[in-house]
Amino acid sequence: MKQNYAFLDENSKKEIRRKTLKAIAIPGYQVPFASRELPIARGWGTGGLQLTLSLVGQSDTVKVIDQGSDESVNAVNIRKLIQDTTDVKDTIHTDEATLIQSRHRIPEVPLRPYQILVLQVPLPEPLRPVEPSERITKMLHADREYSGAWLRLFEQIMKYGSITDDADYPVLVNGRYVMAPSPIPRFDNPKMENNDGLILLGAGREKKIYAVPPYTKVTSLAFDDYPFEVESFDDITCRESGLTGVYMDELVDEETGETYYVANDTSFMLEEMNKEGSVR
Amino acid sequence: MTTMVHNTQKHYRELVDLFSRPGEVRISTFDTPNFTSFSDATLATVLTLFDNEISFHTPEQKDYIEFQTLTGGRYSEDLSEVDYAVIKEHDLTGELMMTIKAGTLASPEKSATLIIEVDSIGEGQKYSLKGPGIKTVNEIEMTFDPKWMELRTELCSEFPLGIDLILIDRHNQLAVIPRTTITEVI
Repeated sequence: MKQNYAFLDENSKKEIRRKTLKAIAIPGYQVPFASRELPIARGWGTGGLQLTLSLVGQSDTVKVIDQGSDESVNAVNIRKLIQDTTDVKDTIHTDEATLIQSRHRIPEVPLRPYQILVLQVPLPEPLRPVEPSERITKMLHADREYSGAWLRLFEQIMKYGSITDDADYPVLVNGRYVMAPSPIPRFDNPKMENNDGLILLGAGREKKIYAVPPYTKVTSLAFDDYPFEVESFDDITCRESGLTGVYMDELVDEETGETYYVANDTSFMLEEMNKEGSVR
Repeated sequence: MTTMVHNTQKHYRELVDLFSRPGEVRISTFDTPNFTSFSDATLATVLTLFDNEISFHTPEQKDYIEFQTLTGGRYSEDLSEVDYAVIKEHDLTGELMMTIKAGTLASPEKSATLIIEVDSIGEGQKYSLKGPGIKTVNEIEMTFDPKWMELRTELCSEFPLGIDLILIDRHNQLAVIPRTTITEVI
């Protein structure tokens, strides 16, 4: 089948490109865009995919991950669509990629300068749990009125004794916009701060693009007496690789009923295991 | 094989890098027949970003007819509504700077982008740049009058309102100063 390079027509790409440049110029602000129809359903990574398709070119090497895995159905399908329409190289190694599309994780390997990480976003509006109207949340962002976001965290502390948001933990970008970092675990939030690469976030169903440029201040919302804390994996060891201190998946051995852990970022785990003198 | 599709993609990626790293300089290698009074890099930027959804302003008739024909973008005399202004530094006026859109607090993206052609990037007035995308401090030298930079700073004083500048010189070098960047004459 004959298709335009990178699937989207040039006018669609131009519109996404113009909006992306605005997003980079206004860190954390959700720029509305005319989300296009794609061969995958909205809500399955179309925002990220449109960003990737508008960015990708002949000299790129693409990596696509879904919750840390290069091999899940979603990641493979998206990677295939990108490759079928562009013939670009693919890789599983984070440092070899120029363009990384990811769902719900920032890779363990830190981003390099000029690398671009595209995150798929289901719900871009951090104020949505407290305010259903888009028109009103837009005004709240305009007025920098974030009491709702703070109150939500406060209520969690009152109810449960601690902040219970595990993923999609809200952040303040460049001291101005409260932003939903997409459902990455809290563990990944600090990686956004002063990072070397560019992070672009795309929400296809909600029709929003936003960005965190390199070397930008990104702070997770927290209170003085209830500081922001990441999940700790220091005393947990990956059963496959012996790694520790990285983000882990908790699994249950069906035969013994025992709980065990495996590193979530599979390509990182593989790289570590292939190193000479690795733990396993 | 490279076509216009690949050329604009490549140019866009340069712009992405430049927008996310204010003050960095790139040389554009975009090669296309150019019948405008602007440099090839300026034309490349126009071809990459313009289509029939945007409006633009440029002073000379021959240029706007060419831009319109090539991209379908809509030429407008009304500076207060244009999305892009393509202009040489010596044609800049205080009136233009103060009339163009700086966005609204609810929709700061509804602001104009200025594509300014200067004589040289690499020599001239020295500026220090700070802000998102810059690790500590970046320095850039260019023949861009500090009085325009001052007006730009004024327009960008109430973030997120402001304008973004794409600066291009006659030798196809590009640099970007988005609204978040704090500039200082040194």
